[in-house]
Amino acid sequence: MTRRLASGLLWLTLVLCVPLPFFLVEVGHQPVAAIVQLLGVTVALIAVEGSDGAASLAAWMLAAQALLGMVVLALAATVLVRNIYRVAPARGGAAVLVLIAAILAVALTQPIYITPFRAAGLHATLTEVFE
Amino acid sequence: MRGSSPTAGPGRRPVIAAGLRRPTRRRLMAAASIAAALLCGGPAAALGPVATPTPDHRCASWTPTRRVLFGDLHVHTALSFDANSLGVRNLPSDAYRFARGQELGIQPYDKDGKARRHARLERPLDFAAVTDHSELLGELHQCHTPGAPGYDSLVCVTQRRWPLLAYIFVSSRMLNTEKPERYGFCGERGELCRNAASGPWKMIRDAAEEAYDRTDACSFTSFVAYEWSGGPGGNMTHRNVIFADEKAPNLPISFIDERQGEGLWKRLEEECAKEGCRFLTIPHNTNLSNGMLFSRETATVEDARRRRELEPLMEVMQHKGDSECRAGAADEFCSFEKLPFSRMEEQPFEFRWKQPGPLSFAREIYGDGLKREARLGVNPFRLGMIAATDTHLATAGLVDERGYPGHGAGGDTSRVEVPLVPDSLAFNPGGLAGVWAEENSRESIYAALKRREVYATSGPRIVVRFFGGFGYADGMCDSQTLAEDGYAGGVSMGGELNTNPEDGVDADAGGAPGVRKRPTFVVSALQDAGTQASPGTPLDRLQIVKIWLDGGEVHEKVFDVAETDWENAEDSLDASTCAAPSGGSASLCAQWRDEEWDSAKSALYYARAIEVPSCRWTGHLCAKVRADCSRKDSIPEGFEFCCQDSVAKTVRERAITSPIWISPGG
Repeated sequence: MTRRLASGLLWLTLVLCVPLPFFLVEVGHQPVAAIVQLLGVTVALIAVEGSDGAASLAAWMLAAQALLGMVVLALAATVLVRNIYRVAPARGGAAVLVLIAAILAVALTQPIYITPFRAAGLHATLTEVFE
Repeated sequence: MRGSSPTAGPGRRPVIAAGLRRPTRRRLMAAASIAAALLCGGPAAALGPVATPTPDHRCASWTPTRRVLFGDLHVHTALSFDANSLGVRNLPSDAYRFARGQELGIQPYDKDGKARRHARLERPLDFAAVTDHSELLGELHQCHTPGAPGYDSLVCVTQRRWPLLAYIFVSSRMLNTEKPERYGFCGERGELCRNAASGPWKMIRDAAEEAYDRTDACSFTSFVAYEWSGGPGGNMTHRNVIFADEKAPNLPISFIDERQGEGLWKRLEEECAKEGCRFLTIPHNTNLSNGMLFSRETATVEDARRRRELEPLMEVMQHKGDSECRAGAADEFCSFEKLPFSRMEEQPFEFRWKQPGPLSFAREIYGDGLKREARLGVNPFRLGMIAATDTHLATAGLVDERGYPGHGAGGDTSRVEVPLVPDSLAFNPGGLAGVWAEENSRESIYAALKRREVYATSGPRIVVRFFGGFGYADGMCDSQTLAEDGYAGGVSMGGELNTNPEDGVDADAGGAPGVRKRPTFVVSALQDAGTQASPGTPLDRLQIVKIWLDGGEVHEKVFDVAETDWENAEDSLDASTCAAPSGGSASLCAQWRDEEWDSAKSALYYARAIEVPSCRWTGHLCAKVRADCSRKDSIPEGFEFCCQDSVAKTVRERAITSPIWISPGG
């Protein structure tokens, strides 16, 4: 696995799994992917029903937080992969895969997310965030 | 500082029962036993013109001198879009069950749908009205009815999946805006959603009908009602619409249908002409209106007359703060349950907080009414005062500071978890409406609302009488017939005193022709009796607030007319335990004559009964966790407010009566 591919995979995993603080009237800890999902719904509502103050403001706030999260996580992924490959140049790819599996395992089994907008509850696992 | 601060006129010391002896504690107590029977509806004497004619009266407890009833005319359930988005599941029938004293499960709910909290009134209410928002009634119904045209719309999917997100969007588009618009799924001109409102509207009407006790016991009265929730620019112009009986329009009229009060009244009049209904409206949260409930509307004489007829009351105290008078006024008791912002949308952003604009508080509105009367010949703002909860959890009348679970909407939601602190710290449990009616029936209570013989309490069931007249004899407080004499010689709270010249001259004032008698007022109050588990708090003082117009300028002055000899109750309350405070009096009564009255000047007077300090809901929470500000480690996480001076821990509960107006020439 190339270092570039490893960085990309890890970044996607972090985007999907890492709970980042976010704010939209309420405060929560959600993966960037969930913020993107909310952004998508908001943009779709604006497209279908027309823009209004709150929806537009929400879209901008969500977009800004999603973009910031992606950039931060991209940097984190790059730094992590670089260090992994520095420590274990021959098994860097495998180590990254193990790391991804560990992150997914935690995200899927532990209610590490705080999702203020979800109807079903405040604390959630990764599957509950998207179910 | 002790006592209130007069805001105008010579002498800082409040006038105590001018021209009369100051009531002593002994006299007060003696009068109390007499007043207790009278205030609560003593033996029915033949009073002739005093009682409102109610030919079909039927209640066993019919009282010609009227009895006080306590109720809540502002209650939301899961049929309100905002309450629903907050995870509320209780329906109008649940709200009425709760009002009648039954236990109710409230949010949050567990995965099996079982409520994780429960509430119950220690004392049932006498009356209540479920006032769900008319806006979005149909939209919400569609979103939760599989197969409905809008069920699969993006808005409805969002509402079911991310209800709070949907509420933010929907409130911006349809409530807090100058030009509310329905969503596309509502069809052309919104007919689908408008008609879909008939389902929940029927549920509201049926629940009211079912809860109304039509037996001779007259144990409970319900009203068909709803809330019209205008919010131009985020400024609340909300009004509750209360119908006199079971007759009501086929569909409620919403802010989306009519954007101004005038339009609402016109449409209601048209609809009620068809359906044979009678209605009145009650604006609320003037503290969040930036004056728009009163500044934008009622420009013509016709408008003023209609408004005076159709909008006889305002709600001055509720979950989202007090609206009697502006904080920072010379009257120290105005610093009471004030919100630090002027619109709800400012709430999350402290840097956006502003002071409410002019005409946001009752005293300013009353003053403006006097000015308009001078200009138009009609005072459109002769408004009585009531209080309510505005609960969004269907918990009608839940005003106890102890164990307060929050009221939702605007406060903390408790939607998914039992919170440590159940509400936004600036919010409060709200209050109740006190109504003087002959019996607990729709006819009698509605008549009392119309004639404004009502008052607001910040929660406690303080019993207050307030009479004004030109012909009262001295010693009313010692009279066994205070209520009879009060009605016979003058008017009760909400009334208008006639000052026509043919009323005669005042012999006490020299008997000279044209020399008018001075208006005399009698205010009598009993502390909330409470329950064995939660005894009521004693009274500290009675006040009369006078507002008058002089040379086009509005003036106000507060008179302490009865005080207890207790000096500093703040010190007597142990806020660390919230143990019952000492001092104060179980009852107070005073007769006061306005020696400064000028018959050429319009004036109004209302009374306040103020308790000694007691613990606010925040104080009860801090006492419960034993927060000790001298030991940082005793403050649990989330309870830092216990040591912040900016968060009140004690409260001066009160009752505020509707005014009595006196205008030159009647």
